[in-house]
Order: sequence, then C-alpha cells, then structure tokens
Amino acid sequence: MLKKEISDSLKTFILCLLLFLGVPLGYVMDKFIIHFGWKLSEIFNFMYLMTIIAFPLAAGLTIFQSEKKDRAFEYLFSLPLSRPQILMYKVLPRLVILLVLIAVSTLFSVYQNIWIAGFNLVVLFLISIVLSVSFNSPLIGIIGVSFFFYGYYTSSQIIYMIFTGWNPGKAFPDSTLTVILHNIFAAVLLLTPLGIAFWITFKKMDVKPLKLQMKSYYLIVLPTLVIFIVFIVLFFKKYLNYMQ
Amino acid sequence: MISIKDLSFSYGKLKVFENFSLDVPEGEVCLITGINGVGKSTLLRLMAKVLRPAAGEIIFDEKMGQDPRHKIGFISDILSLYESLTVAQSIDFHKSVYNLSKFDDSLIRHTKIGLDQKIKELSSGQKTIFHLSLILSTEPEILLIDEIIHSIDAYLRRVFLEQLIQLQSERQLTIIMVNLNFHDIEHMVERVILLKSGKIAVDEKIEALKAKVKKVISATKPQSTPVLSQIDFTDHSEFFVYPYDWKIKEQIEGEVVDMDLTEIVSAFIGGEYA
Repeated sequence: MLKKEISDSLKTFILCLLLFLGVPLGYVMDKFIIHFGWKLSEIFNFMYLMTIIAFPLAAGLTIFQSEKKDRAFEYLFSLPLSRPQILMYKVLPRLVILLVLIAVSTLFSVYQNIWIAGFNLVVLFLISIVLSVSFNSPLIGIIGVSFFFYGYYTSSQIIYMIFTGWNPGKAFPDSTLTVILHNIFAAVLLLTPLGIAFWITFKKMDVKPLKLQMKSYYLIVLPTLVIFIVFIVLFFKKYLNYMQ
Repeated sequence: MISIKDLSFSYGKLKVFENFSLDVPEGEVCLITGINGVGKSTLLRLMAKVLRPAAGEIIFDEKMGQDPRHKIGFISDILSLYESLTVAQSIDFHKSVYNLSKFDDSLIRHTKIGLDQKIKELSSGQKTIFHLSLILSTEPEILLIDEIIHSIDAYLRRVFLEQLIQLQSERQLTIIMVNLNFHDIEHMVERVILLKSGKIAVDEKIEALKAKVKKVISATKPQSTPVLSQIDFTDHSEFFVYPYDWKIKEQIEGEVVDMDLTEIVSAFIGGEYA
C-alpha cells in the first residue's frame, strides 16, 4: 500500500511543480505585456513559494481522492488494515515530501525563518487532511483550509500579543523559539479539536454515504470554528491597532 | 462459523435491520435472497466489516484470528478497485496488504486481461473476474459474493464456479451469495434465506425447500395451503404454494409440479410484490 501512496504523493507533487510553468510565462508577460520589471529570479522565488504552499494543501485535501473518485473505500475497508495503519500509509509519504521541500527551501533561502515557515506548512498540511473528509469539491476545500489557516495564523499572533501583555516593546523578538512556541500553542488549540473530530469520524467510517457519518465531526468542528471566529473578532481591532 | 447476534443497522432514519440474528456454520453454501432494497447487500457488507452495525455483533470463528478480514473474501455489487492502478500494480497492492508471496492467476489466465492494462480500461466483467482472482489468491475461509457475478460472460462464469466448487470441496469454504444466477449455482447451494422487511422470512435447506414449495396448475385456488404468488392464464392458473400439503392433490383438479431454485425464489419474490 505504501508503494501506491508514494506514487500518489509524487503525482500530486509533480502536479504542483506545474506551477513552475508560470516562471517563463510570467517572464514573457512582463517583457511584452505588463512591463513590471520583474527579474527572472523574483518570478522563480514567487513560483517556488506558490509550489511549497500548494503541495501541503493539495496533498492533504486529496489524501482520500482515489478512494472517493474510484469508490474504493469499500475495497480499502474490506482489507485487513487498521485505521491507524491506513492513515500512516497515507500521511507518511506526503509528509516526507513536504519535509524534503522545506529542507530544500533552506538551500534557496526562500524563507527568512525556515523553522516557523516549515512549522506553518506542516500545520497547513494537517488542516488540509482534517478537512479532506468533509469536502468533495477542491475549491470549497481550498477555501475551507485557507479560512482555518488564516484563523490559525491570526490567532497565533494574537496569542503572542496576549502573552507579551500587548507591549510593543516586547513584540516580535528575533528568538525563533519564542515565536514558534506561540505558533505551536495556536496550532494545538486549533488542531486538537479538529484532529479529534477527524479521528472519531475516520475511525468509525464505513461505506455508508459520507453525509450520514459526519454528525460528530460537525458537532466538534463547527463550535471550534465559532470559537476561533469569536476569538479573532474580539481581539482583531486591538491587533490591528497594535500592528500599526 | 459466522454468528450474527441482535444486529441493528440503519441508513440515517431508514432502518434496515433490527435485532437480526443468523448463524452460518463452517463450510455451508448459503444463498440470501429477497426483493430489491430488503438489505441483502447491506447484510453482506456488514459481514465483510465494511459497514458497522449500530448495535449487535457479528462473531467469527476463533481460527479467523483477531482481524477476520484476513480470511474473508468479499466482492460487492459495486466494483471498487483503484481504477488508476494497472492490473500488475493492483496485484502488487493486494499482495503487499495480505503479505502474499505469490498470486494465483489461474482465473485471469482464461481472460484477455493484460498486466499493463489499467483497471479503468477493463470491462465490468473483466474487473469482476480480476477482483475474484485477487480474493481467491488470499485463500479465504469465507467468501461473500454479491450479485455482480452476472456481469461475467458465460464461459468465465463457468470457470469461476468450477474453481469455487473445487475450493469448497477441498477447503470447506463458507460461501454466502446474494441473488446469483440460480441456474448456475443451484447444485452448489445448501441453504436458502429469504429476507423480508429486515427479518428472515424463510430459512430452509434446499432439499427441504424444494419439497415444500410446489407449483399447482389448476383452475381453482388451493384452500388448505398458503399461496405465495400466482400467474393467471385464460383457462387456468399457476399457484406457487408454501408449505406444500400433499392433501392438495385430493382437493383440486390439476397438476402439482416440482420447481427449481430459480422458480422457487421467483415465487417468493413475486409474493412480496403481490
């Protein structure tokens, strides 16, 4: 099974690499149409950034794509594989490719702080996996993941500011560990309920129509979403003032 | 042995089974039948553990191990293999999951299936026979086969059934089938179970069933025996009676005829629709 999942993960990665077609395209467009004065290296860096964001998003959201598309859940669930085994076989190759991508990014110096960026990409991947069971449409999936990821990102900043007592003097030190700790805190706050919702649903999942199996998932995910929105709304004005 | 105890299952608000119980002894060849939507395929899926019961349990013999799916071969009424894989990749996939060192290709050797062909390129009959060969290569103790086997052409169906008969006699395979082509399997089936409204309406050994279900050709309806269904002609009717009472012969003018499995099942199902 691992072989199939490695192959599926590589296919997703290759599809994401197609974004690099934007490099010559962007260069030609800039040269002949829009004249923004983009350098080839700038376009390459931008497309690399897009790829490294697109991969965890696509790899997570399409983790059960072959089962959904081929109606192969019935075959998969009839095999003597436990749910942790299935999840491990599916997550592992995708996570390894993502980690390799993050490692390669350090070579290109795409991110100033690779630890924080890498952690955020892993969070993006995990959010995409968790939401993958609830969406069939990739577009809605992308919107959903973007929404949750934005929630995670904003709340990590707000958490940081709460912990510094809204004191701009203390804000954003160079210490990677301090910043990443608040990211971890925000990730745990978001991913714990989402992860529980996903696991409860996936553990009990069978070949009944998916909509009949999502009750406990929505019972956890929707209140989490509401709490995150309330949290962000409560602090957003203060956050904006602080940022200014 | 499969022992289903007080099983309940529903699709949302639609109850399919409530406190359903059934025992299937080891080595028995059992046919489950009933009208469409009665829950035959659902029952098979529950036994294959691809559906989870809301209540009750399905107990397998201890020799089936901790995860009975190792020893269950299940083919449902929808083809559910990974379509993007090739035949060779699918064999590889199946072998890796079951830790098999070799694959028994005796069934697909009869077909024109190429190892490089993608599953999505196969016809539904080819997919079915390939899925069956995957299942048989794992040497299952229990075979659960839904009515999809109709899609295989007559020659391959015969080859498959011959292999099935051989395996059954060699390994005491327990086989549970749903509404297969009764002519093909009549000589294999030992027990017939008719489902009605989520319950077992009829559960008989095939010989007992054949002795109890008769076709009465007469102008008058038999009074002493329940009639399952009937077909009317201009000057007479065919009454399918169950359980047959030999006194009928004294009560009516007409003929009493034995029925084969196809006619018996049709009579029961016809009665459901009447």
